[in-house]
Amino acid sequence: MGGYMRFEVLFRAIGLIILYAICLALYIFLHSQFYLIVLIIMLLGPIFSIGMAGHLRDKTEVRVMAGTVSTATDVSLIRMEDMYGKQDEEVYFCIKLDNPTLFVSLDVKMILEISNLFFGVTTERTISVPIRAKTGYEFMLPIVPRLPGVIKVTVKKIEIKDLSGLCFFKKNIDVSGETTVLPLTLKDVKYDKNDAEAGMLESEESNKRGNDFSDVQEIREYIPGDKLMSIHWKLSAKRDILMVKDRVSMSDRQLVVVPELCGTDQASLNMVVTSAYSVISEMIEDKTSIRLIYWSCNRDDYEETRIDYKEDLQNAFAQMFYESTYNSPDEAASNMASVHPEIKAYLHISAEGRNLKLQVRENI
Amino acid sequence: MAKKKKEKENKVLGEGIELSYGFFEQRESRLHTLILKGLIVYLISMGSIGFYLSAFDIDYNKQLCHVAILIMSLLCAMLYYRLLVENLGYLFLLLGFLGLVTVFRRYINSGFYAIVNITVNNAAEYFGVDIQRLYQEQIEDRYLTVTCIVLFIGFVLDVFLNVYISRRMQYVTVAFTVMSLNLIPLYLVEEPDPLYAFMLMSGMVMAYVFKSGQHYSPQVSIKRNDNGFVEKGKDKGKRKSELFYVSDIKAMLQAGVTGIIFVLMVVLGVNAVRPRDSFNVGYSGNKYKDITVAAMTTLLVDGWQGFFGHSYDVGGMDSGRLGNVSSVRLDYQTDLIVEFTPYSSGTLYLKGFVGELYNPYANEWTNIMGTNYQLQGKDWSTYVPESEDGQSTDNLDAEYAARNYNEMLAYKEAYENNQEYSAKAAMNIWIMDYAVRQGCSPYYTESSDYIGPGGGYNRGRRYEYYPSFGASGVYTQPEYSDLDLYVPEENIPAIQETLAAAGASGSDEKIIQAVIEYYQKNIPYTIRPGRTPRNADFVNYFLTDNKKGYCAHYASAAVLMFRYMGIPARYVEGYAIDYFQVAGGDLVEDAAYGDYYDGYSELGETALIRVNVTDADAHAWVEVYTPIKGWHVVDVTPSGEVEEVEDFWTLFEEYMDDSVEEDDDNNLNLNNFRIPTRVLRAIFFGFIGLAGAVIIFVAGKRGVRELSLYIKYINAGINDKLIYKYSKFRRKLVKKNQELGNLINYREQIRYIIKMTEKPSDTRDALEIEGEQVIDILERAGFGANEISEAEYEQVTGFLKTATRR
Repeated sequence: MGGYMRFEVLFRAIGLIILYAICLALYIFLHSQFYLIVLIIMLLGPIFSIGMAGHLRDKTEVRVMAGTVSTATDVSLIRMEDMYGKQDEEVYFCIKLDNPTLFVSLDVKMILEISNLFFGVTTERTISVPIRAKTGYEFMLPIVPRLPGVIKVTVKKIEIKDLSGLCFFKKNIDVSGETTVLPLTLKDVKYDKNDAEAGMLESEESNKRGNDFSDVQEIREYIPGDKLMSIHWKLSAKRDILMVKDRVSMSDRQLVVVPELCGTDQASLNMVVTSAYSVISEMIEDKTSIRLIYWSCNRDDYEETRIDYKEDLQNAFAQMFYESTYNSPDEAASNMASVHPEIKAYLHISAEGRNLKLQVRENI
Repeated sequence: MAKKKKEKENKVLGEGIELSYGFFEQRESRLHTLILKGLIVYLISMGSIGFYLSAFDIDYNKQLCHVAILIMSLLCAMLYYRLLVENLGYLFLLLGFLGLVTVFRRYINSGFYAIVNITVNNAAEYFGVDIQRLYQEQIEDRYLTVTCIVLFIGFVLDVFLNVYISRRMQYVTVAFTVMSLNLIPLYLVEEPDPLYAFMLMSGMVMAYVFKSGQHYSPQVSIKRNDNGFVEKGKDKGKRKSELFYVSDIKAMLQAGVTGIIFVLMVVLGVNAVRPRDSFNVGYSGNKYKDITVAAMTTLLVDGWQGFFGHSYDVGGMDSGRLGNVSSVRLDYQTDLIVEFTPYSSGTLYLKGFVGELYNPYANEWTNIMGTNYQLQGKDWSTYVPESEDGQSTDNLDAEYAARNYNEMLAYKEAYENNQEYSAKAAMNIWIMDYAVRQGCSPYYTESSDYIGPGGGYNRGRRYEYYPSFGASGVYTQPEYSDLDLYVPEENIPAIQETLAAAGASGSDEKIIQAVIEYYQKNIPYTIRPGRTPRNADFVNYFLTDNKKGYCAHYASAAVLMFRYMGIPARYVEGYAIDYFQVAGGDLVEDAAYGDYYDGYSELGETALIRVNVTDADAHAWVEVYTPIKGWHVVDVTPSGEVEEVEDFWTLFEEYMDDSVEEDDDNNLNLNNFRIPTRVLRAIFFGFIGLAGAVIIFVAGKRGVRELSLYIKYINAGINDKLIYKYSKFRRKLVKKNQELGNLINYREQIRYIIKMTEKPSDTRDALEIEGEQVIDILERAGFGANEISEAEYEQVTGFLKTATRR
């Protein structure tokens, strides 16, 4: 049947049995039609209720939608907008339980897993909600992310309690919704801008050792004949269809920013990411083209993106937030010279202890 | 302000992930939830009332009751909308309730009595016993009075059930409460109307479903706001706590309707298969119930005392004990069964106890025959009345015979000489109540024979006696003793005063008549004269203070007054059977008139009549000796209407009434408008009671909270203890410094406390240094995973003492 009992309901069941025994004794003693009714209700009621909850379990579907903006206070009128969220501002997850049946439950335990994929933070919560007949139930979960990254809410399972409170019916769900939260844009990130520009704009186009120093122009679907190395594995996995990065050779000179995605300390990583985002944001406002390079643990290679506009910046970071962090504090910088010898210098953003370190490094 | 800020805090779910406070503020209409709860209260209260009344087919205005109780249920439920509404609402409800009850009390009382009487009648029918009506209904229109009592009970039930349903859905308590009384009709094999069974069960099922669902917005644990979600769990505030919705009216409504439909199907199904009218047809009962039937019959007939071997207050009057009776309670049970042939329209007196010596302040009459058989110059200890079968008699018969022996001989002689107005009669008396300890006999009895037990009766005797028709006889020994003229000195002043007031003088007859008239005009009859106060004399208190009483009062005082005036008199207790009661007796078939009566009869030849004599016929009177009539009966008790068993409200009124007349000065006189003292007293005590209730409520609430906190404090770890102690300390300071209340973290608070201190600068510097350590300790105690040390605990408490010591 799939139902199971908890200690919580064990006591209720014992209480009901005692009550049933009392009513049975009264029925035998009084031989009353009323107590016959009571006994039948007490006997059939739980059976009816448990059957109802079992059916409800089979028919209930769960959906999770993520977004950033709610346009109404009434849950049913909220429209989710699929755009990036901002750090310290609410992002919304609309969780819907669809119930096509006429049955109802007053207590559905929903086990939620809420995580920040980039920072590797995961927490689990139980939320108790009802399921209404025919309509189900939906509610908003307004999450305030204090760290940037991909916030993912997964409904792992639901436990439907029957109306008599004697049984829980468990159903594994594993339905999730996610949204990307971009870092704050800081205004006072201090680094030697002139030095950075002077050193880094010397970089030139090169095809040394077969390294691809091109920039991604667009991302499109895979066409037979595309190189395997062009496949955007992360995106493909996410969209369930092969995607490739269409690259074009860089013909102009760019400023290179290399953040260290070292995840040993969350606060430091937050500093690095936020600083990188802020610096790049400031530069593109100055019409400076940016080349963002970071070490991808997923691919075991550098991931690089050209950023000209704000949208590029957001997309680049949204993609970056699917990366796994690493433990070495100098991972990205350590291979730059060998992998990207054409780059003379770059802005290296890392953390030293709890201090942010923005440094123009010569690529030697 | 600080509280508001705290409420607005996000809930930290994990590192860098918070749940916005907006989640908890998703609003849910509590109003609808309360309406639903009110509906449950209505279903249960109206269901249980209708259950009882429909089982006994008691008619009342159903539409009015349904509507009124529904409205009342909803209003009661609404009391939980806000705390203020609840506190004030209950107060207004109470006042309104008292007002309505006062106005309609007679209807309510009568309705209650009507239901009780109907129940008792049903019980009597079921048990096959004959039960006198227990209560006298003041208003005969049962349709009206029952409607009133239904509204009254509905009101009380609504208030009561609302507490259990709206607060905690305590369906078990509710079930036991409403079914306790409803077991009565079921026990008497009376089933309720299916509608009320359905209503009652629907309400119960809904309460059970909501209780099991645990999301019914309980009014105790949840603050009365409109929050849609709250945090719940023993480890509240930690990671594993549960976020749960408070209530959802749509889901509740749907669940409730599901329950109602289910109950409806079962009720209809059972009634289709086994209708209530034929449910018990052919059912012969069970042995368990049979056992209780015997006990219930005893209870119904004899009351609780029926379970014990004695009953002093319900078996008439036969002990001579006075004074310790506040009111006479009649059970209307048969004390005696008397068979005789009626011969006169006068009252038949059956003589029992004879009091010769009045003991003042002991408040009792005693007879000395038990120890002195030498009355009237004859040794009565060996006297055995003649009997036909030679059955021995006891000394009690000797006593009766001794006291009226001369008169009996005179009447016997008249009968044997065939004088006019003479006769000889026989009477059978069975003592039915074990509470009647002393036998009684008709006047001028010559002999008695033991005839019981027979026919299921106990202690039966046949008495042969000579009826008196007021004809004068020739008395061989017209004597009386000094005892019959004895008046205790303690009673003389009161007696003199009363005789003077009565103007008693002249012949014996005039004196007797004067006393009787005085009684009739000045001393009202009551069966509830109140208990004679301790250290007061029964007769004196009756004559001078209380000036009201029942037969024992009148007779006792009259005996002493007659004696004082030189008329020999005795106090007698027994039974007085009036002619109407005799006329209503049962005719005994197959009995020969000649076996029971011979001689003159005022009524001509009658027949043998059986009369049930109850404790209502118990009576006390006076025997007076006059030279012309000898010893004869004088009944001095004024005629008065039989008082009904009074209801609560009358008792209440009496309680509030002054027993002693108040002077006009004691009344508040505003020109011509006078407020009676009792009303002022009622208002005064009412206010005191109300104020007391408010104080108890407020203090009790606070006390419970403090006690709960203290228990938590005792069982808490050292971290929690410190935080509790600090919070208490802070609360105390906040009363003086409101600004402190606005500071939300320990750092700001401690720094503010240091700033507040009136210490020299060097001491303050030291405090500031220590303050930083205290802040650190507090933060670790409040938020850290590890426990602080005892030394740190002491450091903080010491610091707080130092900082606040001026």
